[in-house]
Amino acid sequence: MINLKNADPTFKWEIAKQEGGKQILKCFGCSDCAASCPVRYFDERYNPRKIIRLTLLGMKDQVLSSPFLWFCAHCHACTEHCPQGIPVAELINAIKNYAVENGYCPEGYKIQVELLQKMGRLYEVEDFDLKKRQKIGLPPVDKTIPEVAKILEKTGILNKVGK
Amino acid sequence: MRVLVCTCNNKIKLPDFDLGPDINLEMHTDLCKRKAAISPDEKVVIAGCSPSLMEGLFPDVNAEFVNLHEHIVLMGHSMDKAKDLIAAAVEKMKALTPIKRKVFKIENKNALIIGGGIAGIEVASRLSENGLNATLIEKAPFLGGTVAKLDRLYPEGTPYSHTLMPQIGKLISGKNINLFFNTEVKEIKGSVGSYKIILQTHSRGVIECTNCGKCTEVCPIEINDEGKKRKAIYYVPTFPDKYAIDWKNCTKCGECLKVCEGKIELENKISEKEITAGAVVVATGLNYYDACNVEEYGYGRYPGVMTTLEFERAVTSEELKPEKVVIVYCVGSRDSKHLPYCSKICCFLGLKEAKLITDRLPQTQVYVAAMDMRSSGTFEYLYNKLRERGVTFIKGKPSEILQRNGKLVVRSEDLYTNELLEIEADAVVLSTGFTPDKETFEKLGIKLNGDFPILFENSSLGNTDLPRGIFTAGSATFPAAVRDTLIDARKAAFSVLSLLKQDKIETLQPVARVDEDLCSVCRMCIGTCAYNAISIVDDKIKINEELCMGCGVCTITCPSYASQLETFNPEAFSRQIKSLVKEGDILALLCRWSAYNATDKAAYDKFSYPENVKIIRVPCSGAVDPSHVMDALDKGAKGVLIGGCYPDACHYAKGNFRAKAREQVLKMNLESMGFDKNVVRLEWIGKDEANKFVEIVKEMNK
Ligand code: SF4
Ligand code: SF4
Ligand code: SF4
Ligand code: SF4
Repeated sequence: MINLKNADPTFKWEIAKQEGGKQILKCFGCSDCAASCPVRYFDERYNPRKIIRLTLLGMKDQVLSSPFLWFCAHCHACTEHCPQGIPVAELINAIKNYAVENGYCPEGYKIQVELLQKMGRLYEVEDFDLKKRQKIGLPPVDKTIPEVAKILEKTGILNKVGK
Repeated sequence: MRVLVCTCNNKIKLPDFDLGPDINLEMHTDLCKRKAAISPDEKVVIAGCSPSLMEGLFPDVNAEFVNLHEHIVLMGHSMDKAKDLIAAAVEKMKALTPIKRKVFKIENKNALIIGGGIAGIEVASRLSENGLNATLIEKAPFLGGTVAKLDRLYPEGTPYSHTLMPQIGKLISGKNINLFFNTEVKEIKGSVGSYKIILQTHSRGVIECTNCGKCTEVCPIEINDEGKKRKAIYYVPTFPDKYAIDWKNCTKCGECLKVCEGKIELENKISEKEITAGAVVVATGLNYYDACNVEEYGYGRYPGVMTTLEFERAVTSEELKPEKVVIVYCVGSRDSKHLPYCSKICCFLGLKEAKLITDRLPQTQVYVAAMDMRSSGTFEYLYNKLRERGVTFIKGKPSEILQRNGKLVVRSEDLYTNELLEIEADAVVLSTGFTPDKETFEKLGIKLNGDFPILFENSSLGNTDLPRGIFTAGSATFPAAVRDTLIDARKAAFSVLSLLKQDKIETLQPVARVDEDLCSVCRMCIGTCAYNAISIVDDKIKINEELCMGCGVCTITCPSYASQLETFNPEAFSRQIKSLVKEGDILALLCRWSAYNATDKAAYDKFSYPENVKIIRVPCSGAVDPSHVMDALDKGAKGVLIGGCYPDACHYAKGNFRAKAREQVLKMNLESMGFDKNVVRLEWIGKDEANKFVEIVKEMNK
């Protein structure tokens, strides 16, 4: 049940202030976004309209702590469809950014940032990979890219995700 | 100049005062009962009750009204203030151009009606019944418009012919009606009472016709006419009783010539004819929005996807017998990529098509996919009935229509269950939105506000008695149901009758006038006029008296003050302000349609505001020039309040937005001159917001 006693009426305005979040107030709930979202066809628990709706209702904690918020593939199918001209994918992003800024970053993301910081890439390059490359005539790649860590530091993302 | 003061049965005791030479002060005891004689050619000041009342008693005079009753007596303010208000009004009137009586001769008793659908037909026969001449032009070769293409009319479901055929019968038996087919307006000139119109007519191709129908049998060109098959030479059972050639599709093969019992000419001749008219009625009906633009629904690509009209015609001509149908709502409408508005009648149409198919083929499974169902009024009964019949309503806007294994698939979310949903169907009906006939309005010089003609969309404008000779009927301005179309057509006929039965119209409505000596033809004013009243004729700025609403917005836009509104020119206004404002005053310049009325209400509700608040009534907040604010500040005003209508509530469409834009510039300028920018305030004050007005002026007075 949605208990509006727990609603935060300022939440939607907070999201509207975010980059890409401004148009959220235009949503009239037609669900074209949800019907066009390819992720939804694999996992019905993900529903961009529902996220938007809960945001408009002010259900801050429910939205920000939902693991489904992070399912968006950023394919922009919803943005193409929305009759109200809402950049839905950007909007979902805005909510994600807000979630991170407010300490709701999911563990998986933190781990990804850590990996990036450590190696400069998400997937470790092992000797096996280098051998394979050599076999098909590709030049070797560096196992780590230290510049990425510097970039991460500059962006301040480490603090934001609490690392 | 005369100054008429009403003492309200000797309750108001003005001290003696001299207003200067040639100004006669007249005391009346009850102006509201015994009306004083005032000629429309003289300039007067009338001091008494609120202008909201006085204006009704003296509608056709050149007057500045001073509100003695509400602003002085009820407020308990001094008679000295009353004197100042009167003196300032006199100052204004001295510099004012009186309103010139505008006379429009109604030379022509003929009305041109553009469009031969039910709206146009109704107007023409009503006019003829009442002894006027009506020229009805129709761009197709047959009468009937959209209604003639339908099978039945909703919500009751009677065949279209029940409505249209008696109407046509009345029309063709009427007197003084001229009908032109294959005809459009090429050009229109003139003004109310005497329009000159050039009509352009394409020939019909079929000159003499016995109605044998052999031509259609032999014609090799078959086309799909909105869901129904027909040939390039065809017949519509309305009027006239004669076949016609569809020039767009005819290949001039000559087969029909060989069998015709009458006479056919395979040449599309264009002829022109000039006619005159005293009034014009636009009855051009509606256009279906092109569903091809909504690409995700596959219209034009998948044969089973059709519009409501095509579906209706295909089902009723037995060309289509679907087993499973999905009717999709809001196609194009309520969509920022297509039509941002709700087309109003397509919800009804969708219900109607659902009824039509379940009437004829009860075994057909019908789904309606709508993000909202707007079944206003008695359409709710139809909606109820259809659910009882087993029609399934889905809430949600379909995202896509696909083709899979020879079937159409509609994809949507069903918002009632929160689940994704796919429906396989053999026909998908798109309830498309509608657009008005922009082209005709543009030809008539009527400005569009987005998609709609601005002159007809604003309800406050409908009440203004403008000497305008152009009327609309039916769906020409906005999609309307058949019943509403007929009512609207009768209303239009009535307006035309009241106009054309007169020999001339005289009006004292103030309009803007351009002083040619001052005007540099910079064209700044043209874009600011919300009514398209300003144009360039022979390299000079010209204001169309028929269209000007008298808002005064252009007078402020003009950098050389060449445009002046009768009753309200910048110079006169400036004199009034300079005469009225004293050190420490608050000057309130209030829109006559909203904020000014709040001050009357303040008096009735026994609010009070300080004596140093001086109020002047202006036509529109958009008619206040920054220089007027400076005039007041120069005279030592503590603050200037500009009061206008709330956003979107402006009587003149956008005047208050102009005021808002100017306020920002003004504030910047004030700051650069060392003033506190808050000495000027632009506020939206509704006509009943007495409290708001009082609070604001009190705050400014602190
Ligand atoms: S951008 Fe995200 S929400 Fe939008 S359709 Fe793609 S996955 Fe779904
Ligand atoms: S498509 Fe747009 S308007 Fe419709 S529910 Fe999604 S965000 Fe809201
Ligand atoms: S009338 Fe119904 S179908 Fe048409 S635009 Fe409005 S809501 Fe949509
Ligand atoms: S801007 Fe106003 S006053 Fe000027 S021409 Fe247009 S309607 Fe008339």
